[in-house]
Amino acid sequence: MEGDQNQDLLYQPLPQHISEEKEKLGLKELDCPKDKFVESFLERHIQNFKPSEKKDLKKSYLLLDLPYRQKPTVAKKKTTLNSREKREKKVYDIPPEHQKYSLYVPLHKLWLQYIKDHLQLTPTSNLTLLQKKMLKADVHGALVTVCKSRCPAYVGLTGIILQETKNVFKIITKDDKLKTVPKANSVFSVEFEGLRAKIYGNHFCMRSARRASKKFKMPMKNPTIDL
Amino acid sequence: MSLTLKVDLSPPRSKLVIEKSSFDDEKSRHRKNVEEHYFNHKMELFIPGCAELPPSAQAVFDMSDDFYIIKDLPLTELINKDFIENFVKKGSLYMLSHNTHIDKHNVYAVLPTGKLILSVHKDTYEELGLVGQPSQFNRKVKRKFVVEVDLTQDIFVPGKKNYERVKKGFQRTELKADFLLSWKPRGTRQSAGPVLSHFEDSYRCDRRSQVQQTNKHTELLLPVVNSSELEESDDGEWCTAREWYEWLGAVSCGINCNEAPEHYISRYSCPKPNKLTATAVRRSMTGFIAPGRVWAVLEAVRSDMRDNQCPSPWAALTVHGFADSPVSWARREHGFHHGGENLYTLLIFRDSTYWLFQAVGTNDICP
Repeated sequence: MEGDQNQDLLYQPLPQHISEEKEKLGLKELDCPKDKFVESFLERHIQNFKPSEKKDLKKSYLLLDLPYRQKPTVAKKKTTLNSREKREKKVYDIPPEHQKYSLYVPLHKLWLQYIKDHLQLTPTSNLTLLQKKMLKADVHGALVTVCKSRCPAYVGLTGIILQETKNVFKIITKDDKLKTVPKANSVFSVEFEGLRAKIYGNHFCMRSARRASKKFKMPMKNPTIDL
Repeated sequence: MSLTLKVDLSPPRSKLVIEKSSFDDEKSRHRKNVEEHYFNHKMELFIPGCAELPPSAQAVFDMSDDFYIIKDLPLTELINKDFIENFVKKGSLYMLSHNTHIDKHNVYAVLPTGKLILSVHKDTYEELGLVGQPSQFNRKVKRKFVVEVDLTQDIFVPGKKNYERVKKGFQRTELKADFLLSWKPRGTRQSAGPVLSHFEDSYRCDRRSQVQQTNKHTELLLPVVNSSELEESDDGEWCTAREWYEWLGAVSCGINCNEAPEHYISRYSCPKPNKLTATAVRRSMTGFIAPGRVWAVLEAVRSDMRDNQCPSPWAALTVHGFADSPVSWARREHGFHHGGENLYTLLIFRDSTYWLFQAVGTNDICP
């Protein structure tokens, strides 16, 4: 209500006793545009007013009847853990009780079913089409063997992939050992349905979710298969 | 854009080590030098002043010394339990892969110490899965790797982890090669027959004998050498060891050094001072020679000199190794760059002293 009153006051015409005495008070109607008035006002009242400063005058008009109130910023609550918290809480670690090969054999069987459906395997399927589909396939549960590696210690490791991260496969071997094998500089071979796929780890270093949406350029021009 | 071709015009960095010592000296390394040079391709004996080889040396050369070539032998056979028990551990077994170049292909060798040395290419090494060292030559570009498998270890038996890993590695890569094989059983009674029968059933075996050749020289200029001085003399009374060695090489290659230096074909002349000798004999044996045979020849020549059977002032025994062997002496790595020479010469004097020349190529460790 007070705002309304103020508004009324702002836009009301001059009171009668002043408007009658206009000539005496020296008040004149504005006969020039508002900008020119402001400039001339400033020239008269500011010492050493330079003409170049005129250009710096911001021509923004404050509307006094609608005051701007800043909303207080509410912090958005993050629902995910950052990687330090993940590592502390060991979210992605597999506990020793669960590191048994026999537990994951059903997972592997499930994966075989999945890959059969995903690739739509028929005796006459085109291998290049299979390749393209295989690139987008999920490898969790696949039985994989390291057939070539720049580090000879990794060669020959066979197991079921339990986790796939950006750079690494976590594999469980038949001896119930959880091995972390870097993808880089290694060649992996996956066998299913009488077919063998060779995965060149150097080109596979990305998160599995990202890999599903990435377009691999075929034929690969720049990357080499030399380890 | 022009391409610049960088040509390396520097001479090959071959190495020659000359040492003099006496056979009777305890610290003399002549025995070690002969016995540790496992793979010998050619042996040549040069005796000036004789029309024929003295009797003991002749007897050694006449002894039959055959070796075998086994075709397409897979490496899994080399880790066969029976093979290791009967042949590797009993006696000295020398095996070298045949027709494989050390700079291009994979080379395999079994040393008499019971070690299997594999000098493999990078691709093979990455698939083999056995830990080895990169080659000591061309270290910046890791193209070749050397893997060593100790066959004589007690734990190297089927069922143990290391053995199974080696076996799986060989099966995965399916490595095979032709092998030169020579087996010297401990004790002189046994013959090398059993090793042939071990392989004969499954693989093609060839029995080869060493190729012998005799050359006789007449009216040959011999450089004068002083057994106690290797370097130049002040008065020009004898030749330096290097000059003598170069002359010996020329004689072995059949170059006529008697001609004057202005001859059209060859400008090489015998170093001064020199003496004329009426005859000289040069006997060579080429094949796959075991160090034991070289030692026998050396001892025979020494005994002949002692018994005055040969009137010459000195005798020269040169032994050449294989250009494609993975080792030169003992376990020193050998490679092929401009050449793959690894040879030694023993200059045997009448007073039981000797000069030993050891020559290796660029990709070799100095002996």
